[in-house]
Amino acid sequence: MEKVVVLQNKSIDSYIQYGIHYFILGLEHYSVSYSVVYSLEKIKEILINYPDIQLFVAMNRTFYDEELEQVKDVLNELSLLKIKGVLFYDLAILELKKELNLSLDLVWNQTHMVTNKNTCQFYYNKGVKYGYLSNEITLEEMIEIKKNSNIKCMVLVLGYPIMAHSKRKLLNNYFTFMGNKASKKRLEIKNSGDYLVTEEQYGTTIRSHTLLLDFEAFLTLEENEFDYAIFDESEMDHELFLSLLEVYTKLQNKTFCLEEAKSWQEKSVPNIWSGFFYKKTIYQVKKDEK
Amino acid sequence: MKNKRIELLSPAGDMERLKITLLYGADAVYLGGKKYGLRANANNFSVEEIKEACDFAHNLEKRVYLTLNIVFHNEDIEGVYQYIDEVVKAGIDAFIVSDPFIISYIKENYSNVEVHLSTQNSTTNTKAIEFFKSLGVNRVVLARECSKNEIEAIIKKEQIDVEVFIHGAMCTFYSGRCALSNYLTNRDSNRGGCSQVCRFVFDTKEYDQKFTVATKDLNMANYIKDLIEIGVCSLKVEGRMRSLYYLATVIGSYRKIIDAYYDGNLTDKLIEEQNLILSRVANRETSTHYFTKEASWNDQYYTGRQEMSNQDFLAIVLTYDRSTHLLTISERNYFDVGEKIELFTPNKDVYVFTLEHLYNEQGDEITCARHPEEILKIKLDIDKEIPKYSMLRRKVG
Repeated sequence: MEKVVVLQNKSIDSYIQYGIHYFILGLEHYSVSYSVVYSLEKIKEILINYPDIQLFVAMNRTFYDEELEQVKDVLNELSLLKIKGVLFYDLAILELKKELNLSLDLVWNQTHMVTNKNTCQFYYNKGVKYGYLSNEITLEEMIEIKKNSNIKCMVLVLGYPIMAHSKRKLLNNYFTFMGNKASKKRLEIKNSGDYLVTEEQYGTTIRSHTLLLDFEAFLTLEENEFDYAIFDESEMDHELFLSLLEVYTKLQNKTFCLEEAKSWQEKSVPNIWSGFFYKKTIYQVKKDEK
Repeated sequence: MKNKRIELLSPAGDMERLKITLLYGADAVYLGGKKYGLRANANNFSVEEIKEACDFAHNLEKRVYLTLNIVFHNEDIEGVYQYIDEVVKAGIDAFIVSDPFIISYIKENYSNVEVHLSTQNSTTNTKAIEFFKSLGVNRVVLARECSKNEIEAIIKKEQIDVEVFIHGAMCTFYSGRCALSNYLTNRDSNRGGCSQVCRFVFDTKEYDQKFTVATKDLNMANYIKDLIEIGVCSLKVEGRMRSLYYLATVIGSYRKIIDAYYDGNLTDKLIEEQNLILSRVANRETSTHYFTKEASWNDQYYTGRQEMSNQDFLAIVLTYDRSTHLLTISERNYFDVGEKIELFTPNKDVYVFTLEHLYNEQGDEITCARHPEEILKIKLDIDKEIPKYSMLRRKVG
């Protein structure tokens, strides 16, 4: 299972030492929910300077008609670069790839909708090579997808999961209402849990602010031959992130056992959670619970 | 598309709501079954009830659409093929679907049934629509983030039926792009369990003012003419869990506006009158959100309780005896003799009267109605049929 890091404008060399050769970059103007984004020029520069790394480029925004020509141009340019794939949310990207006959691999990245084996296989049959599985399904569901579809599976194993994305500028609206001229683009909020609101040009994202981290889940994914484990450094301290990468790498190459990893984690990163790896969500409540 | 008369599409949370909205002027209804819909905690319809609903609607030459719009997990796929077969046999006219695998399956196996692309896909552009058209989708319910110009451009280019929301609750986040409910309450927003976390209140470390993201409701009564003229095919009202009174009032108001447009009688005065009625039945403030501009701070709530309680709805009519002039009603809110009351019917008739005589079920004269669902009688000086499901409300304005 390859480790993939969501790049945060830090030196790529600091990751390579942990055997990381795969990266996801948010493309400037075409991605959302990435705290650091990269221009096409910067991406070209990285590919020249690091010819042995593999880049996935995120274009996970929702697009409107007036933008489609630019989206086309960008896809054309990306298809000429040696990139691993493009993460998409909007089906316009899949349609444009087909229409322009682009040799570009795609990652189905509809955040909360990549949830079952049949639809994964459907997209695979439509030429989508990868699926970034939703964080809100269980490990068991993920394994069933892996076993029953041809799509190459990516799973978030470390990071602050995205909970929601809006076109609205929720922080700007909030401060406007308060008569506060602050132009903060980041706010920590709390309601039986910690959450982080970040605002950018194309809208607002809310993330969980409790770190998703589960070594056992990581090892289970490895045993079941998942293709890519995603490590999202967004909103994390770089040194802590590198320390965690080191632990995961040691677990993977068996120089650390699970107990050692857990013991390290309890001392260094005590506040974590396992997300929905072992927790099924419900959707029908009993009448007396309403 | 442009040459067809526009459709008024109403939610129907159960059989009674279905009958009322169709009688009050909806051209079609959308409803959910016991599974696979995004309002898992509404009453919803069994397959037998779906058949009954279709028979009722088809007798009125109206249509029924079934929501099959959850984001499927592996366990949900098992059983859905049989379910689709059963509801097609029950007579539904269309499925509302978000999953392209399910869309594909339906179109390959049931070519006579329409598929409408759910707003859950947040479709905003022509290329995405072309993808779904290639799967056989007949209609697209556009994302609520689309402006008038964007909607018009899509219709001009794609020549596909387009449906837009015109009234009711608005999501703060892109539909399908929100799992707040999953994280805060363990209830799956994309499988019908949304607990409306967007209406929760959050603390911040830095400010005394709580943080909220709740939105005002949508009200497009001022823009029905625009929507008709740009070629929208269907106007959708949100609210499968709303009350009978809300549905009858909202559908009745939009029915009047639409009919007045086609009759050449649509005036600012009529729109203003209907807006007054709509504002009284609403339990939140309203806005047009993205239709004419980018959504702004004015389209949201920031403090305290957003819902306003409404006690205008007084009773629902059970029968009217023209020989004795006695109206039999089932009470819903407290009212007194001497109050000014408005009786409105599915036939768009409206009568205003001051309540002079009120009787209990035994025929004893009383001075006030105080028990919900109590059967009461009112003496009325009306020599016309007053159908079942007509309603009484407080006269306002």
